[in-house]
Amino acid sequence: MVFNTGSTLLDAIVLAVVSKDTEGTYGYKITQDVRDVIELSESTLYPVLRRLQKDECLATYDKECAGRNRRYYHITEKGSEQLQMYKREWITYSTKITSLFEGGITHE
Amino acid sequence: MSKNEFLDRLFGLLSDLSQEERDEALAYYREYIEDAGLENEEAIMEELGTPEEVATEIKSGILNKGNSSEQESSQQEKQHTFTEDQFQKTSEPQKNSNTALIVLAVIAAVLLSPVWIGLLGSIFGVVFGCLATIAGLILGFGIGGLVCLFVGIILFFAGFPTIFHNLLGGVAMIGGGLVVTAIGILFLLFTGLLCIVVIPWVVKGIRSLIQKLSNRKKEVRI
Repeated sequence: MVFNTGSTLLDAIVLAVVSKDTEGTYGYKITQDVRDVIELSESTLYPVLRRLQKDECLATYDKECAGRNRRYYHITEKGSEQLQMYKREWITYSTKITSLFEGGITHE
Repeated sequence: MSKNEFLDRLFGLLSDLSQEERDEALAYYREYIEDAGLENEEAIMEELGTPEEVATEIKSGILNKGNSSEQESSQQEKQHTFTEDQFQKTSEPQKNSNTALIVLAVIAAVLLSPVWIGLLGSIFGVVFGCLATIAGLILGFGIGGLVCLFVGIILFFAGFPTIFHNLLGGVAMIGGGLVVTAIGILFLLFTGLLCIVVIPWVVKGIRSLIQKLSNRKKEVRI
């Protein structure tokens, strides 16, 4: 990939990935799901998850799994709103760029 | 490095964070490594990077978080800081990778210096050897030819007065003089041939060699 993923877009991608699992999902799985979409080093995601959690876009709960604790992340009301805003912004942004690339198609 | 060693070192590196942040981060990475599969630990640590790198990433994330929560009041302001964040994130890794590349190139050049100095030396040696051989041939045949010509002519003319008191010796001198003169002329012709054919060929060769070298340098720069 030649395009860098900025922190806003990364936030949006993480929120989208987490929102797919209604039961909640855990760090390793989030990382793998994000890595299916964009190039990302394995350790990049912790600060993002931690920030989203502090901003109350994500909430966590702990669950016993195979004899050890696992932390699950799920999206909050605030996180869903944020994600909707990101999605709208993304459509505007990507539509503009696409129409510029394809040329001719201008919209008021 | 074992899993616990990795986590211990990470814990030590996060000593300037609050106890809560430290425990959170450590729990996350312990869980992550375990989820990644126990037999995969070594590979995961290669993927995660060194404990130092992970610690830097955790700390930088916490600093960013402080900034964004300050300006949470207004949506517009928040978006503004996000774009700034984005800008920093996109420009910094490129700078880092550039300097890393340069540092790597310098290290490689220094480490490999015995190889490329030796290589350059031998190339120069071969080129100069060839040039010296050609110069030697031209000089040798040229001087040899001139000497033969000179000696032959002297013998030829010295032969005439000798005929009067020593017929056989005189004829031999004249004959020898002619033979030696012929050899001298042959040598000089050969020298001329060498000059005409070999010198332009050598000049062409050197020119193309220099062009190749400078082209290669350009490619490396790209």
